[in-house]
Amino acid sequence: MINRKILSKIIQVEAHSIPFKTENILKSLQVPPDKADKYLLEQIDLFREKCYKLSRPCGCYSIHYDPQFDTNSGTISVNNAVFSLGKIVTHALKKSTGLAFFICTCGSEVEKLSKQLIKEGQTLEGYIVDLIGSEIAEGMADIIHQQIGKNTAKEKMNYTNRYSPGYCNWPVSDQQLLFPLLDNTCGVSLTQSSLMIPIKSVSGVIGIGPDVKFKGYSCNKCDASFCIYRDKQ
Amino acid sequence: MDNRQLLDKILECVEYGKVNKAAPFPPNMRGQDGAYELTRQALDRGVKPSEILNDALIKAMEKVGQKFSEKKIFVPQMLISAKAMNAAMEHLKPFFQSGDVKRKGKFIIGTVAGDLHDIGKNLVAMIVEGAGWEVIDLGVDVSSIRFKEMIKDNPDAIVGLSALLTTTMHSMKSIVHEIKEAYPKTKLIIGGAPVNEDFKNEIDADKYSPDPQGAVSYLNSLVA
Repeated sequence: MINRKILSKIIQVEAHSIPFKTENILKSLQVPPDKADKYLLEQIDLFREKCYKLSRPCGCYSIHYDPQFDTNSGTISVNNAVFSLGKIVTHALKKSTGLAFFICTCGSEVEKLSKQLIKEGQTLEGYIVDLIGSEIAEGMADIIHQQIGKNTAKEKMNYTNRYSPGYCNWPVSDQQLLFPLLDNTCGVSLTQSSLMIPIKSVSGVIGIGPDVKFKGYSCNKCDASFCIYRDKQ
Repeated sequence: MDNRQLLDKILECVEYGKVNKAAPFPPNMRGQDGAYELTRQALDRGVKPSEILNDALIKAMEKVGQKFSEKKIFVPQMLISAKAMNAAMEHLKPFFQSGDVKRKGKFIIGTVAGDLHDIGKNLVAMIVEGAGWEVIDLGVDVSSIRFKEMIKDNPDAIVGLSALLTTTMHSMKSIVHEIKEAYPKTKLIIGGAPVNEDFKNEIDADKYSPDPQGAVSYLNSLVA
């Protein structure tokens, strides 16, 4: 067994470096791209600019080595914490020699703007801002994922998809175990019921090792039809 | 313009989302009076508030709901229509308070404990209000105790519970159980991305609705 030091990193980026796809916002609004009217597209553009100015995207991760897997019970032990990831996630990570736990956020300002707009009766605008906040947080998670990918490539290692508490039957309560594994949380805190504040935050785990690989998400095994990662390639 | 035409114009404003004169949407109504101004004009002319509510606002929102169900319009248009309806309602609020205009009933809504997501819940609340119901919005992360307190104060109310996370479905299950135990006659509607008809049956709720219009249809059926 190799005993390696925990590797931690924090990354802050300008929001404008995060790619933005209008079609993702339309999809969340359940508007087919060919049915989006000019007014809606203008509103998305307008609030994208506002949100990009307001947001403070931040991501951090810590890699913990030598995790112990129990595929029968669907648990992983790392650094004295036992995660009940469920069989889907445990199976996907079981060949990992290290686990990168991460937290990303777009900050709290976008969320405040969304709430303010809704309070003023501008529900559509508030909803658009809410969705843009999700895009930025997910974009930040993509950056962390890519960064981990680059680092593992240098060591001739591979990496897996990312998995988050609350998805693929991984209980959200495991957030309480995940957060203490990171030196820094980018200002993200947990409620008693294990939800993240700011809400526009993403946490999770990525497996690394010589024998793991990034796959298409096995969405047919999971019943979360609403999942944002569903059918993601 | 006679009173009938004025009511039709209010209906059109709400249906197509013309909130007020300053509103840039829809482009073909730019510069015209919107639901806000026209409702004021109608009241000033002596049109009964109940006529404005029933013959313009509720009819408009029924059309909007129908078009949404048929996928002729989408969430954004529905939200803009609801905003126009709310603008008109500003003028009707005093008549609700005085009792001159009656609503169909009370609808208590909240996102269940452990869940902070409120967009879907807000959307349902707006559409239900537009259909002529009084909405009591308890917000997010609502405990069974809070739901029961409100039911105690509003015993005839129908209750809507929303959840976005799979993990808060457990919370929804226990809240439904506790409400049913304390108030077995209270009707409970559930909604939200992870729930479905099977889950409704499993937790013994009364109705699952995948969209706001389904909730409105069910509510209206209870008072028909």
